[in-house]
Amino acid sequence: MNRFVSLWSRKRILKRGRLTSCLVLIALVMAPLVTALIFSDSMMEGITSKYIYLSDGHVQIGAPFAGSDISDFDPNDYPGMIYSVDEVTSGYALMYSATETSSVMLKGVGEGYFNELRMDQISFEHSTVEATTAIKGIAISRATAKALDVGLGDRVALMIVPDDPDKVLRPVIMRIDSIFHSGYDQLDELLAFVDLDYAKTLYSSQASTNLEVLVTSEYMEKLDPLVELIEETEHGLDVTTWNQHNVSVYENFITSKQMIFIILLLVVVVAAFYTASVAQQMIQDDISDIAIVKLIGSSDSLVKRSAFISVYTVTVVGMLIGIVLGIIIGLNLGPILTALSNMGIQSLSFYLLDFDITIPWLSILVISACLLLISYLSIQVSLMKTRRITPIRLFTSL
Amino acid sequence: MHPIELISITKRFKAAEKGEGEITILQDVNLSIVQGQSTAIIGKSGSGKSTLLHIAGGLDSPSEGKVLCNGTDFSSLDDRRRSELRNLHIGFIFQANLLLEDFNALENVMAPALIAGRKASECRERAVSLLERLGLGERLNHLPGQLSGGEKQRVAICRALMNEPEVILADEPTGALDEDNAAEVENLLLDLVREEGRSLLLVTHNQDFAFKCDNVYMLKNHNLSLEQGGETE
Repeated sequence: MNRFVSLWSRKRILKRGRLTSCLVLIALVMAPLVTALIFSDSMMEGITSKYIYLSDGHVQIGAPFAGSDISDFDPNDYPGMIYSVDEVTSGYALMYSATETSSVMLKGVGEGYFNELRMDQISFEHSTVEATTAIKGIAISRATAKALDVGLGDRVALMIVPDDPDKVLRPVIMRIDSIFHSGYDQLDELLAFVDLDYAKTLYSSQASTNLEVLVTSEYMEKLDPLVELIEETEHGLDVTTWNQHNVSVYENFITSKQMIFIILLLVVVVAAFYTASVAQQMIQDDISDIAIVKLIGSSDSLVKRSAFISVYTVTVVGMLIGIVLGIIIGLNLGPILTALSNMGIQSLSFYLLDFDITIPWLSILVISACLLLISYLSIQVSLMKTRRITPIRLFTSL
Repeated sequence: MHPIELISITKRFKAAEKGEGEITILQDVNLSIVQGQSTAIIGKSGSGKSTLLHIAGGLDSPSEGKVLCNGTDFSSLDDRRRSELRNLHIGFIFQANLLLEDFNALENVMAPALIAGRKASECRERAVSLLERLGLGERLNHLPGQLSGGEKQRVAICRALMNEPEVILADEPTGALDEDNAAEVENLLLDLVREEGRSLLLVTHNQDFAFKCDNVYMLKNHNLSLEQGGETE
């Protein structure tokens, strides 16, 4: 780079308050954008994990037709692909306490259901009082317990919604043996867990029992090919992924993610155009210097290069500071959200507050690239004005 | 070859008042700056001396005629080539010193050479040598705002000489200085130009200063008339 260009650019950056404020503004725009990206991506991934591990599994295998049987499925036919397979019977029920009512999906699960992966997503509080009656135990969520105003050891009445139209509604009494909490109340308040064998007595239809399959980490991003493989191998079984099973939830996630991304992109576009106005103002402030520099033999392209380097350096540095700040805030979102929640911000109860932070590098890269590209173009357009600044202006209009 | 040659230069400006047409400032002016000689142009205020100097330096374009710098017609050049020619072959000194306020004295002097793409170490060496010759060795790192009027003008002279141009164009270089400073700057400029073998085109209304030059022209009635010396090479 021409030494004069670098010297002039450096002096501009160090001495112009306007450029410093541009740097601060870009950093202040980028930091919340990156934090928002981290928050939305991490939270959505967290919620997705809750749905996968507690509600549906990565893949569900059912036998909806007579003659098909889920017991035909053998995970050993898919070496290295499947982490666990659990038989689950589920159906809907209305749950009553002495004063309140709640609607839940009753899931009958076996002993091995809450494996290491699922236990990462949920915590249980168990009753310490030993059962003295034949009343079956149930695990309800903290959110449901709160809604029903019940606690461990209390009894609730369940009205089982039959899975067979020929059956009639049946009430049963159950004892709350466990209260669980996954961190996502929206899902928690829908779920209740009972023993698998007991659930089969409540929901006897073949369609109510299916297999919840968790895949190995290698296949988490390759669910569609795995589903195709299972469908080809297991004739007559119905194979669905978690997102097919929760179409509306999944589409809501995708739409929300896209909308958040578009909004953030628009904010970045505005910030990028701001850099162009900074460039314009800088040129305005520097008319005299530009004319002097042209007088002593600088070409217009050298003047443009110096002005561009000044504004673009500030933009890039501001952007990098913003990204670093955003990541630092993002990595500490858990404690921040918990603190906000503890301050009584009710709307946070609709969100998952306890989730693993993932940094969406690709989204950050796209937003940064967008900022840099639009800044580059808009600054270049702004700098076209320098052509009109000639040395003769020193003696005429100045 | 002349460092600067003006051939049949005419310059007209649009009148400030509507309907008054154009005002002729220069009419068919011819002038050759001779290598190693100093040439002064004197004349009343508003006679067109500065306009002539601006045209000679490629800062302004003539309405008619052409300006040759080392044999190259300014009007045939694009911005880059014209800037390069100005950078390497012409040094400018004006009444207002026109220094870059954010650059210190040394950086201001180094600027033309840095623009030309010369090595920073070489630039520094030459700039320091020039500033020391003009008694500014202790002022290298001072910003223009920290220098007196005379010192600023000496920095401007050093800057004009930095790239060892064939010709220095000076427009009232002592116009803003007090008598003592003006005399000092006049002598420094003429001595340096002679020592370095440069040509000088000086525009001034200061007749004493003008008549220290090899050639003196009077700009009157839109044209030049020789008052002293004459073209010799």
